[in-house]
Amino acid sequence: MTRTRQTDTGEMTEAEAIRLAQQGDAGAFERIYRLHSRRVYALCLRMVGNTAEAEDLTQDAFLQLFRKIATFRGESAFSTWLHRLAVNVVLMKLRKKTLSETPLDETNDPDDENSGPRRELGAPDLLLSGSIDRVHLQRAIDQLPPGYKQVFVLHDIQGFEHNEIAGLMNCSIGNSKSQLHKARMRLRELLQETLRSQARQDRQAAKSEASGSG
Amino acid sequence: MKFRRKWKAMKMMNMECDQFERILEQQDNGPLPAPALAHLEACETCRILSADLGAIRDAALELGAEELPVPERVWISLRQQLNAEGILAVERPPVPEVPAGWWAVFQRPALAGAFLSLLLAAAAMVGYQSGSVQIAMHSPLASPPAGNTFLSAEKEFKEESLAIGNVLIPQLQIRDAAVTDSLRRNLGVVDHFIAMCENSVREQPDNEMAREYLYGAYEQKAELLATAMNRSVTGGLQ
Repeated sequence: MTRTRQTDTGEMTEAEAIRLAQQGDAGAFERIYRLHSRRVYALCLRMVGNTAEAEDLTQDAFLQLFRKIATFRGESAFSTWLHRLAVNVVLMKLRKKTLSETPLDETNDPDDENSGPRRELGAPDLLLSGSIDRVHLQRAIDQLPPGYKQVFVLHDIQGFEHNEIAGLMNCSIGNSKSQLHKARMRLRELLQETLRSQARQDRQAAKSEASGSG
Repeated sequence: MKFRRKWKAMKMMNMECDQFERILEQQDNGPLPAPALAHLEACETCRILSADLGAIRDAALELGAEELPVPERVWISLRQQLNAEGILAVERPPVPEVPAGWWAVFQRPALAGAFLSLLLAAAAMVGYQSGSVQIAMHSPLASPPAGNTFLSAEKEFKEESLAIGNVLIPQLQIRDAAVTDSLRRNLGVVDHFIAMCENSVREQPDNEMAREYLYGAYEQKAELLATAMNRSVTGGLQ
């Protein structure tokens, strides 16, 4: 084991930190953690929707990273490598957790009887553009069935391609596309419900204000 | 054949909303084919759908750029795990700058003992050189006149013991704060005793008893530092 070098972790570049971490430098490990932990944690939290689990998964992801860091040869960007590793850790955990539950290739939406597109009838369409805030979207994502959520987080939030998702989730590219589309459609419904509910509340508030003044 | 192609194209131009949605699903973020664009132009419902899905995609992209603060306990726990697995090198706080010779002494307990013996010899020489027994005649400290020798030996002892304390105390503080506090208290008592003895020797340079006491005080300080030094180097706080 190498003796820890006294380095100013605040000024160490990522490349330097990786090189030193490969030699077992404790300061370099911390530097890498500080550089990437916030994004890895965000990824874990969005995938599992639970802070305690997300903390455990973040720790697991970095543990795996530091165990394997000596094998990093720089063929891909370090952050890509780390995020892929983190996604694998999360998916592994989710697989274990839902082993007895519905596999990804089957529908995860209890309402979804057929695999074709579905159009909500009866309710007028509300244009969502400009009305999606972060909190509402996150709340809606949390309500997605697990399979939809995983593909949506990986593709639309984390920026993975369908072929990468197919590899990570052991499914076909077509399946990944289908899951993503269904996820977006479900999110649309959930966000529209939120908008309608807000509109109802506003109307009630206005009514009670009018009756109060009258 | 030609008719079939034409018929298919016409059918695409008049595509249903379901068909449009299937194309939307497969195309993902890519450009839509001409028939789908034609449908989009004609169908308000699909225009709203397309705009909504685009808005969700954009909002998700913004969400992806966000970073969330991680509770510090995650790093603490991770570091413990890394230490337990022997992945992380043990991090030691920086050692204060000291002369190279001093540092070499600290690395090796045997040398530390020898060095303190030299200090004791210096103190002993101070104690005995005014008398008939010249214990340390071979020491360079013995060559100057007796008064100067006493002063230079005293100065040297003070500087050297201070340097040892400056290195030793921060090191011990890291390992065991209680032991360090105890060492500080004991050094304070011995230093006070040394100061009293030195005053006595200055006032009565020929008083053998005063020199004996001063020698004893130096010896106590040297022993105290030697014990602490051994603990610091070996890491064993008995």
